[in-house]
Amino acid sequence: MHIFIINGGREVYYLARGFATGRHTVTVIHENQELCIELSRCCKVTAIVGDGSIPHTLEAAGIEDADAVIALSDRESDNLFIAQYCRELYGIERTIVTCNNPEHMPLFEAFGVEAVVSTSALISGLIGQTVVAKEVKNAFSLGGGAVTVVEVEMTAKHAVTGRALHSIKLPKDALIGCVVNGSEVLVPDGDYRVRAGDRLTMICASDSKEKALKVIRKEA
Amino acid sequence: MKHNSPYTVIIGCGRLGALLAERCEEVKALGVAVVDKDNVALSRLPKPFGGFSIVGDAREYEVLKTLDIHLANRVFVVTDDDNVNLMIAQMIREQHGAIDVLIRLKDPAKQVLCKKLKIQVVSATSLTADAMIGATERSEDRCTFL
Repeated sequence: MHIFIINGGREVYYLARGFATGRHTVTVIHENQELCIELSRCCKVTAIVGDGSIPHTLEAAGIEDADAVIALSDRESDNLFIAQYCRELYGIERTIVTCNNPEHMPLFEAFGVEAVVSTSALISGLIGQTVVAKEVKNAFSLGGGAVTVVEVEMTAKHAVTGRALHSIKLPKDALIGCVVNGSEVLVPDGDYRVRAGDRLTMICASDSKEKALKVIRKEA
Repeated sequence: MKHNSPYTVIIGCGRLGALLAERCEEVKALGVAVVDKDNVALSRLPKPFGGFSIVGDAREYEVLKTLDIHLANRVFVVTDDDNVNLMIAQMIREQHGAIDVLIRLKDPAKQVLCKKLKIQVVSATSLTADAMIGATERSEDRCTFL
């Protein structure tokens, strides 16, 4: 896949390097010349110095070859423009942008951006959920907030540890979709027995999140 | 705020926004509100100014609400950033499809996208080019005739 990463901060370096080692073709468009030089020296990345929120720069960089476009500028209006330009003029469907104002997330999606990431929404989601429960390692919401995905780490002291999934009384709209333990990843069926050290990925309706977490977090 | 229709909202109070406000105010029957995130920019407005001037960032729905945008029959989005103008125009259209929204565009290369998104634009660069070509052609005409 040919991935374009446009503007952004230091995270561009790590993203580009990650994609490049994962056998993707990566083009970075960034205003910081030093970052571009560093990137082109250390990994197989085409780095172009320029402002990617201008059609001329995008075209000079060969945007028509892109399969996916990631726009990470601090100015969310630029990100929206880049995503819409790539989609409307070049038919690029995979567009991922960041936006500061969480209020704009559903809006950007309605305007044709495939995925919108808001750091402030992510952080407030994490703060809201991890502080109340130390077992909760990760949490984010999907479907405009209607669905919540939580990752919960189990220990020997939890009541559900050692029990089969089908015997755990979760709310109807909650489901354990995935289990990670060390390097092992599996999709469990009802007979799966929860082990200490398991990280359970629970998908649930946001309204049932508290109820579901209460069941899982109960101590023996 | 109470407005007698027709009511015009101007977003961005740079040289263009201030000039638009002045022109709208000349026609006394027109209500006008101007918004800019920088209160210094609003000092460009003619004094005295009979319309409303509001400090705020029009990229926020709260600010658009303060402007009573739903009562406007036209909105001029004229900040100095093309992409901001495009975004605000889409935000307004998303909520109030019936309002006439016109944006200022500097980069003519973005016109293709605006056309696809069905956003009405006035491109200063294209207009200036047309005016310059037009002016020289007229003077050439004069030369031939004189």
